[in-house]
Amino acid sequence: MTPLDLVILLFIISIAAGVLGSLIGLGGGVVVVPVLTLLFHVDIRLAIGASIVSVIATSSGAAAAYVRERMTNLRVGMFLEIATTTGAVTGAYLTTLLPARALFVLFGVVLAYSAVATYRKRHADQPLAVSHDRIANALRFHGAYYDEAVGKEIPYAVTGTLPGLGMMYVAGLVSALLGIGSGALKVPAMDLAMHLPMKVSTATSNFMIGVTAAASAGVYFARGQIDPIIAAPVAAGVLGGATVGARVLGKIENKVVRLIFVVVLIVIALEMFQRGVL
Amino acid sequence: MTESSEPTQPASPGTGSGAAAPGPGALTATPDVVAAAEGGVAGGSPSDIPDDPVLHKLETVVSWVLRIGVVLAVAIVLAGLIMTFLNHPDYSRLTHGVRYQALTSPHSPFPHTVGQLGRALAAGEGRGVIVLGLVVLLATPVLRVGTGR
Repeated sequence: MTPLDLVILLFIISIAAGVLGSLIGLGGGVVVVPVLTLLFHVDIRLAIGASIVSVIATSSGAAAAYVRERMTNLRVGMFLEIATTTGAVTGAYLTTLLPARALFVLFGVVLAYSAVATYRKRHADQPLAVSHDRIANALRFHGAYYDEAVGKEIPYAVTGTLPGLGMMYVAGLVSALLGIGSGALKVPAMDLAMHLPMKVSTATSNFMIGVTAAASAGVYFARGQIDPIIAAPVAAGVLGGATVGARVLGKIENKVVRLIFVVVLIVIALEMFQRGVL
Repeated sequence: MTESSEPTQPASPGTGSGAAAPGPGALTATPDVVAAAEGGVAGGSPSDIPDDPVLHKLETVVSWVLRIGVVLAVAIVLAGLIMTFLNHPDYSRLTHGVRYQALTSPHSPFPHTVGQLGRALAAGEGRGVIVLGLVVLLATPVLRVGTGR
């Protein structure tokens, strides 16, 4: 296989990764890393470097549209970024102190639980009308988004700011410790703990993952993990896919977004178990 | 796209087209009163924030920063990719060319410091241009934070 073949194949696969990632608020690393390591036998370090590029491309590509359409809750996103970044910094310090294998298993359990909780909530589509969360009220987190699937503006209230902050801190911590994307914990934090509508959760997660990833991208770049011949088709394909995905999200139902998310969570959970046990 | 971001709550004053017929006094009810009526003591609801020009301006700025960063990055990356293939015709074959593994090992030479990037760009290497585009992409979320706050 020549470099041109690689570039063309990676570009096509990355479009799919971008569509999926932008729909469910994850970075597309869930597609890019296995494809590079298993299909193209690329070194895992370079695959992780490409995955960081994919996360930032998904985030920026989709968020440009989501923020404009007010699907992203900017206030919630910017507030929670404080917790994720703090968590990521803590994780960077703790990285040599904690046993990685046990963490993979623990994180797998957390993701499996989130998958079950998200699945159970699949029929609950009614947004919160009134919130008694003092922080959410004081910082005016409540908002509204236009849902194309039902054709009307959906107002929603936000609650559970403190549990949400805690989960975001853990999301940042875990992503720094294990070198994996943080979207898998961000979406449940907003959907389950804070009662944001599912689409708003994935759009806001999308907005946030770019910053979390950019914090570590500099390190990956300096270590020589970002190979241009791999990263170029990934960046271009994912950006294209994310732009398409951002158009699709508005049109599909919250329930469908949830179900896709559950499937991907289960896949990541299994991957975590595998890395922790084997 | 919707022009009005104002949530159409039956309680918001001035919504004459509300489908549900408002009860007496609904026109004068403040959101707090409605929240209390729904069982809350000091609850907050989306209708507390009818419109927020500061937030909308922020949304516009953030969206533009992201769009410009993304378009710029992808344009530079694609230009670099084309340059790479033009400089190395043996890469561009579909069969019987160079094996891609030569370029995707951790030891394959590609710029990963500012100095190396500068030299690669000065030499007109395609992969230097790609890396420049990737740097723009990686910097976009950081710039967004800078402008957004």
